[in-house]
Amino acid sequence: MSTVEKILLEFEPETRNLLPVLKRISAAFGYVSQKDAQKAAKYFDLPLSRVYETVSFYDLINIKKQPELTIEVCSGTNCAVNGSFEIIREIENLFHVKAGDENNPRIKLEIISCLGQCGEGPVVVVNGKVYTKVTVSGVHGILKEWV
Amino acid sequence: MENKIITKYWNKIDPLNIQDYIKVGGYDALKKFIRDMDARTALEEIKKSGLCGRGGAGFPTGQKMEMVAEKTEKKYFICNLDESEPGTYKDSSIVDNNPHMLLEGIIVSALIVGAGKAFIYLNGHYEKQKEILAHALEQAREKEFLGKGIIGSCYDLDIEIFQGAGAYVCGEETALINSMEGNRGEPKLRPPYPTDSGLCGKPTCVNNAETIASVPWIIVNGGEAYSKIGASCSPGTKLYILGGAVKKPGVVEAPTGTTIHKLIHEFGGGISCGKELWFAQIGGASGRLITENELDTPLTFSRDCPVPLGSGAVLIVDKSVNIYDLILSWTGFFRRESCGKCVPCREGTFRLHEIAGRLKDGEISERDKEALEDILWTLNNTTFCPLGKFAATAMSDAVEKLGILGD
Amino acid sequence: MEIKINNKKYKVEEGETVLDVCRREDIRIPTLCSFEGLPREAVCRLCLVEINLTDKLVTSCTLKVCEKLEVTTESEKIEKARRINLELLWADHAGKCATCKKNRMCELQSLAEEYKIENFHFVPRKDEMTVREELALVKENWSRVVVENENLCISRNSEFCVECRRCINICTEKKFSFNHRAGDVVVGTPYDQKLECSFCGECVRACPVAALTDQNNFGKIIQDLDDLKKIAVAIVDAGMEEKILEQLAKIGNKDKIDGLFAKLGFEKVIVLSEKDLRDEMIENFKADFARKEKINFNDIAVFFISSEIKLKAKKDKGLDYVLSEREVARLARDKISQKVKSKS
Repeated sequence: MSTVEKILLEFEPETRNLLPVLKRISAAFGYVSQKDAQKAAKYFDLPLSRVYETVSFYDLINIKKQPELTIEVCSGTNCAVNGSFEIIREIENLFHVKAGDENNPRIKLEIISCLGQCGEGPVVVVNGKVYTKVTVSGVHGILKEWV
Repeated sequence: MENKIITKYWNKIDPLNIQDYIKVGGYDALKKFIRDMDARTALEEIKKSGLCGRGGAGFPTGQKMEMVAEKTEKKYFICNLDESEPGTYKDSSIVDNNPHMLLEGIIVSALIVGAGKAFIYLNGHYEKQKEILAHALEQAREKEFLGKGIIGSCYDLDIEIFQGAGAYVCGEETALINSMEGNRGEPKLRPPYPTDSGLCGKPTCVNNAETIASVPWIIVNGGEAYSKIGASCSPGTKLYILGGAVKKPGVVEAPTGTTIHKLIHEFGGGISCGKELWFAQIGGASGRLITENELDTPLTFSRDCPVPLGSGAVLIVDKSVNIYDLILSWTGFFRRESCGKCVPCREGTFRLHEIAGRLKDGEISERDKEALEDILWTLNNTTFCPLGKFAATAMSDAVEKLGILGD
Repeated sequence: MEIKINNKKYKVEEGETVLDVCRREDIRIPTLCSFEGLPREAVCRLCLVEINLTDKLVTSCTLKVCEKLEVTTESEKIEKARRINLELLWADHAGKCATCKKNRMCELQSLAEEYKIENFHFVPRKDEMTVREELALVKENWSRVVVENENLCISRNSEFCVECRRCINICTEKKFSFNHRAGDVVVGTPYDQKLECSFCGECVRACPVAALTDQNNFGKIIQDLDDLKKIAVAIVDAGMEEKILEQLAKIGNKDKIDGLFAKLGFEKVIVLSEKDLRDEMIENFKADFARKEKINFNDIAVFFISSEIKLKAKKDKGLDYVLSEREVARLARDKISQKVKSKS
């Protein structure tokens, strides 16, 4: 089990290591907590505000604990013409959630930008696992694996 | 005439084995550069080739390299592999199929501009590509194509992979540099341009991966040979990413100046069975829409070209597609990806997405139509960086060419 | 060097921006994000001008003068850009001017008046929305709003914020950050934590709108000033006169400083620098004053008029209230203009 301190010590305290460090912390603990951000700020000798600006900007760094189930559906142009919005509506109906709702503690359905796997679209990512060529009917089977 | 430069050895060599690439003439450009050329003569070839930026802007590569090459202080070279334009996966395909060609291009380019350190700014989602590149870098170091005293010369170069964390705007070079400096990936005020003051305030040359992958061929075969390929205004070959209703979707290489019609029928195998073409979108979510009677337009990077090539993504949209979903895809994308720094882009993309939602629900009012016109205008004319313009392009065309607002 | 602005020649120094020149020469260019002494962010896009070197509109705040430069500061295109961008900001703004603390002292409001921004054409009218949409809109708008009244010095309400970054740039303690992305951007504190700082008040001074304001209980202040039984004493810090007059100019008030305090309901005015303010001084003054005027000690309310809004939190030295120059102007706005109105 790695700790924030351990992660920090792997990097020199130069600002160009800030983004990699924050990404690592988020990947290891699911998000960058205020405490951890504070530790990073101290290590890099930056104000917390500056660290948080970076933390809150990028998709791959979370600012809060993620729900047990996070479903991400790509809405890039290629996935969209292959029906990703129908998949989004299907999942919304299935779980009675609204895409983009941050307040459900159990499940998060998020519309995401292109992952560069357009040849294999529509792309759905469940808790980090990527599913390709997903269909409206097929999405039920995928989600059954997780609930 | 040679039509395949970047994809020539795809599926023919093992991308994970440097020896395979060397066997087909790989790293010959580097050897030639070191034995027979210097930075100045190599730069002349790049300039002569007419190579221009493949990321979308089409800026002359030689000119950019020269601006950095003539600086005497410490400088950096960055390979832009952020590739976040929707529908675009050409750069990742280069890594998947022939990573050493890219590395060779980076090494030669970095030596041309006189950088001792180069970075590959990799899309945050490209985990597989990160592994491939790390492996390839290892092999190149073993062969002394990298490191101190490259193949016995006095040239030193180190390449490092820097991975982004998911933000479209970081494809813009000043935003990319901001992100490498640990900041929000917001575009910086220009001037100063990165070629004068880039990473850590040092002159920095940022080039798209596809552009860089063309460099070895130019060094080996000469700039003049390259300049004869494709459209004279922006010569060379280009990777096109065919998607949507074509029989054979995927990445293909064709000369610049190829028409969309040719791309669909000769390279994409034609329109998918049972589908009827409606329009094509060129260059991802920020690309223009081309209707059936414009399919014979040759695609180039020229400013005069009515259809900018952009990233090279060619999306074929057939008549069964729900246009309102596609509009939500465009507007939602920019609603998420605007950095939020300037007023017109932050507020404009937000309102545009709202209007797209009402359009889909069939509840668009007359005032919405007026508002739409105003928002598109301000995105086009007043934003801090080009992202605003991108956000307006497809929607403007949808209004103009597809008549989505009705009469 | 010479450049042309609106077809007239002006002498300029190298390194100056077009906005600097225009300010000096009294040529009107609207701005919202620029602020004295702070870096030019070029994010509000209101100072756009046309020049002879490009077809594009450029921000005058960052455009350095150069030989042969010709600038146009007013044109149909410029008007259009300013109007749309202002309107976009206006649509995202709370728009409750009548009850706003900064009413008539707000930079966005005065720009909106100048450019006649009145219709909210980016926001659907209530009767045009379905209930679902309306709920979604309210939820979306409110999920991003940060309101903080936890400290005694500075009140924050991001509903009014125009994301100009002045507070971020002016804060020497780096308390504020530009958070999130795109339409979700909030200027606030990291992790929405409570503002804890030395409360120097610079951010309040810089804020063009009511996102950062002086914390106070305005109702009680007015009550104490109007209470006939109560004696209100204003102790005016050194250097305040100029600052107050500057604020008064914003609301078009032409009062002289001497008459002003009487009009606001103060019975006595004392000029005393903050550094001369001793611990026991106010208590002793109150006791003396109470004895002399034969009034109850507790019926004396002492207002310290000072930019040092951090004193609001201390509540020591016997001060009942600390009012900044902005709050004095706000009092003038509410109390004096009302009287004028009721006369007419």
